[in-house]
Amino acid sequence: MNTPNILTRRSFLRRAAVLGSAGACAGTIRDFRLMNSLMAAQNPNPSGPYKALVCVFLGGGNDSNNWIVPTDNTTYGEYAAARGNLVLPQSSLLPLRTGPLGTDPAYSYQGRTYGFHPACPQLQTLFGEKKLAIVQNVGTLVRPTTKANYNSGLAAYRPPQLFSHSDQVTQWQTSIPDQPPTTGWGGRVADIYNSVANPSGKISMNVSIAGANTLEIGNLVSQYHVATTGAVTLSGGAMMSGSGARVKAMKDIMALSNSNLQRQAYASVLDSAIKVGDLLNSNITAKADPTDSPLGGYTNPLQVTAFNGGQTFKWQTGLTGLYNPALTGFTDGLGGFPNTSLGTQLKMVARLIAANGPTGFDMKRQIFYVTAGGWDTHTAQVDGPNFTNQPTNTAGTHYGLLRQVSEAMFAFQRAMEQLDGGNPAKPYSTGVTAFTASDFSRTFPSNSQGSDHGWGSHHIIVGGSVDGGKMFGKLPTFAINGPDDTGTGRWIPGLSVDEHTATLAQWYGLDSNEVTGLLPNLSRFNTSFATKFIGFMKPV
Amino acid sequence: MKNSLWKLLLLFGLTAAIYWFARPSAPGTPETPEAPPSAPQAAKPPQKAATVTAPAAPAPITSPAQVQAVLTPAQPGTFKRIEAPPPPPVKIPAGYQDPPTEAAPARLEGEEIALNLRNFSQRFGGNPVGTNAEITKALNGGNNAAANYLPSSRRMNDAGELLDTWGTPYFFHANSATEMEIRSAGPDKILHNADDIVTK
Repeated sequence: MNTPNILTRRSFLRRAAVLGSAGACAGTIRDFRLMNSLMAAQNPNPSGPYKALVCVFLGGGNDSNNWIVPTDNTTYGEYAAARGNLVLPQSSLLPLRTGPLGTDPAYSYQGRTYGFHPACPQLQTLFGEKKLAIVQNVGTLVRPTTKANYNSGLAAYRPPQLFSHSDQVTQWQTSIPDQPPTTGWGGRVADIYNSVANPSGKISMNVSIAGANTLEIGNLVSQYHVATTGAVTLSGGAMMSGSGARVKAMKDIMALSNSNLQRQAYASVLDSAIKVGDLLNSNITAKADPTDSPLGGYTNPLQVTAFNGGQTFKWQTGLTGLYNPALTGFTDGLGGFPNTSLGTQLKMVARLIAANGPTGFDMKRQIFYVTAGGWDTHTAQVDGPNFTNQPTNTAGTHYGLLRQVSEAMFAFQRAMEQLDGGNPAKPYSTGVTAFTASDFSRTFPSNSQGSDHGWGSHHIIVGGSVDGGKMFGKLPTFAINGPDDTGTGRWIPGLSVDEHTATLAQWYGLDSNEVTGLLPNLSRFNTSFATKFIGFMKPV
Repeated sequence: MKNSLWKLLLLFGLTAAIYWFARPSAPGTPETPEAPPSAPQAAKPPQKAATVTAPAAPAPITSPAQVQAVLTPAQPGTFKRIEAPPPPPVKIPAGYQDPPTEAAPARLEGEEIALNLRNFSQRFGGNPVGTNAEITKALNGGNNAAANYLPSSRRMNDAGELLDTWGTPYFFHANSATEMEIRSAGPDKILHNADDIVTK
């Protein structure tokens, strides 16, 4: 007699509990494995020069097809034929050159010439100065993927939830697209580096000016959130500030010995938060400098009191003489940083970096995160003759967003050069690298008002250690349903986020084993530590 | 010792009493008798939705015979129901009424697609991805279970795209693995303007 296999409630609950525990353990085991592989690798060198990575995340999906555009007649013709009413006039594009002057020859890559969107003259300048590199068509990949692989529909070739905002943001920031997210790659770097590189550091290695993010989530290191005005501390007037009576009372209460471990830990965390916030705010406080003269182009946003025994710095907008301040529209009087969301965030990053040093935060390695939203341009992407009476397609939402990026990243690079203070080693301008990331690029054809979610995207890397004035990667073939297209103008990435991250990580100081431990999928791609992965960073 | 024995016996008695009153019913003897199964009903032909009208108010009592009829006790097994007068119709202020629009069916269809997407997501661990045509294909049986998740009123064009009430392809905006914004271009057939019908 056959006994029916009845799943009782009790056995169902038992099995579900076992499965749930197994799933949770799997993620934990993976994290431990990652950490162990990193720990087992050679310890990073904490005595190296200061280095910082600054992630500029463009939330919503930047249409990089209109950010960096081929200008040679053949490729521009292909671009213009497929972009529909989103097309930018060829004459409006800002040509990439081999030098900083307008008379320098045009830069050519793989038989093509290129130009930046007309909103980005500052980026054009940085490219000419060889402080900016461009990586073409990079995106989330599980493994190298061709169109045939994509069309096979196999999950092995498709990152989960392609074209979905939050999933692609997460995958860009974890660099492990085919596994549930637990940590960001910046957090994993901090897990291994913080204790050896920042033994006496006074703030977290990972600082966000844009709130919580996946990139900086680690197992050991917590991200520290700072507003564009400084650390968020206790408020309430004089009683709560500095040595105010209420703050003193709270600190006294927190200092009391407590037999309850949880209460003791809470008191410790709160006390530490108050101290770090006070330290940060006192270190970045700008003080008036009577020698400043707005007429001379000087203001004082980067003056700090803690760096190098109280040395102060000035900011000069026209630092190199090659940059035309009139292009930026910097009118806020804050010394070169535009008064935009991204500008104020990057200004805070610059102030935090300036406030570093033995008497400041005493950090040798840092990772910063800033973001600008509004890039999901399904509509109102461009403004031009097809939309209003604008003469050319050089205005619209995308114009404003790209202008914000161009001005802010330029100002940040100039701030790092200013912090060098004439030091021939250029510790800040070469020690700090900023890079862009975004959910995805956008569809190549227009949806009549804008563009929809795409995949592979162009990105820029800015800094003195960047092998700048160059392009890397390969431009996708501008053919709808062509060899690089999923079918609707979504480019299959030619380079993976893993390779992009590995290039940055190698420059940051991770050795071969550490990079492999950091990025478990990296071995699937045809890339190597010996060739510096994508190669957009100069040798260390 | 004797005192403890009494306490023990009392405790045993109390336990036995509690068990007796709280004991579960014996198998096959339901605590409340079930209603006898009703006779199988003959299949009725499909009917159009009935027009909902308020019940007519009972006639006013105007004669002694009517009073007697009301006061006469009901015979055993029968009931005499006295209908209460219907409540007066609720008057909705002018500014609070949903005006009857041609968008109403489209809103319902959007809700149905959203519900189907939720079901798909729960079954397969996430929404289908891609363009309208790719998502429609996945909902239309192009999934591991060959299950259909399209609404009953589905309309598709030659490209395999799911169309809204006005014949314009829906726009699927993937915010996350489980959150999909479904946008109909509305009566003007132009996406991203004021008459769009958006369902989340």
